[in-house]
Amino acid sequence: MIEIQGLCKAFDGQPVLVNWDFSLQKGEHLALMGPSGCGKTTFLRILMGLEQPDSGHIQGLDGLRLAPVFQQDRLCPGLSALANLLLVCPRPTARDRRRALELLEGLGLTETDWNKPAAQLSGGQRRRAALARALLVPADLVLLDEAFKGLDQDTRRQALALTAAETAGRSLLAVTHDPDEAALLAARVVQMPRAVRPDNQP
Amino acid sequence: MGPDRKITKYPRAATLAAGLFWLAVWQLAAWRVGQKIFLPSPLSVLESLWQLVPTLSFWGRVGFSLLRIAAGFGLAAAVAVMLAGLAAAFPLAETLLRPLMLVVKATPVASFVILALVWMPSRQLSVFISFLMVLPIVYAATLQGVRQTDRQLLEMAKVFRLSLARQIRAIYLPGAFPYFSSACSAALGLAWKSGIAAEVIGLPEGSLGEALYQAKIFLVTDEMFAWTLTVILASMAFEKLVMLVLRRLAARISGEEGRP
Repeated sequence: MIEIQGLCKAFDGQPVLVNWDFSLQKGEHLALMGPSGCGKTTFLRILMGLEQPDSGHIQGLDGLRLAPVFQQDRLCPGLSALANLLLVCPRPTARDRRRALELLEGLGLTETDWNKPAAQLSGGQRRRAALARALLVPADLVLLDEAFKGLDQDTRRQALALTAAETAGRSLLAVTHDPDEAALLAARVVQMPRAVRPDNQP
Repeated sequence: MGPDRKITKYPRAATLAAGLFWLAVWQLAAWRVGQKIFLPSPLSVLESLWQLVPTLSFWGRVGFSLLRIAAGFGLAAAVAVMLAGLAAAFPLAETLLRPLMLVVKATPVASFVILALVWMPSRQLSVFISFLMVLPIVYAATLQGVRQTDRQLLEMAKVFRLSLARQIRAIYLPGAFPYFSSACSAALGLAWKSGIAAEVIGLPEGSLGEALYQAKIFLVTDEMFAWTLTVILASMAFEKLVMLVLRRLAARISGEEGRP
């Protein structure tokens, strides 16, 4: 279980997170919603260890393996989609490769697509490759930051279903602006207001 | 179709035509001067080169200088990459290296040659001088390339816990390689210019620089031009070879790496 209390973070004196309390049970799927600029991404970055909070207590994150989908695809442009996936496996085995291909296929990418350098893929294809990369890793916590943004209706539905199935039994925290997406992915939805108050936890 | 359009359409032909134009200017100037000792004609230089090419000593000299300048260049490129990696990882190393690189960059070639002659036999002079001229250029560019590495990819690597070896192969190398490659291209000509200059001063036996100097001493100007032409051709051939290797490496990094 991840337990966060009184988290504060400011950039150049501008508070982004103020006394933010949060908890996530092991295996729980939670959607984090809120207006743009309210600190959702900052919060995810703190969880990932990419930002240091100014104050607050974080428990239960140590040693957890994380699998993120960032707002940007963050694929190595020269590597193929498949190579990008295998890059995050410590010692890629034939099984990892098979699973990577299953995930890419499950997200509607064809053999031609997964062998192309990521730079040559369309925005939607790159988005799906980034999602497949996060799903491939046997992570304890999957972090999705608007992971389905920019996908067409059908692809989005397909990607959401696959994500829900693949993350079953693992913790998932999805940042989204779409209530349908939140309902499909998560059992609990947390609203994060601008200048976060501590009373927003259920 | 105007002349500008023709030039863009046939760039090779345009370059050839420009070369022929300047050859004609040279030939006219040689006729006008009328004294081979001051300005030999292109034809007499070619004739001189024609006589030199079949001799064993010609190829011996080309090999002597080529090997040493190539060794200096290769060593400098390798050391520059290692130092740039070190400087990128440890700010203290970068601080220590900064004045050293500045001094190496600003010191005239001739000063280094004279100093080097005190320290080492003249036979190895061009290795050392080419090394010194290439090192700061490739170092600075590679360091810049490493520093320009995509921060977002590095963050991704951190969260996915990619090993340093994988980060180097998948993120740093493709990011820094274009910088390294263009610095190598810029430094190639310099390696030759400085290497030959060192040989002209240090006069190592059997070098191209020594041949140039001897031709000057005996006022065989057409032979001096022929040796200069040899240096230009050897430098161009070496540059083509290095760029071919670099292009292959770049394709390997960005292309083959793409295949799992």
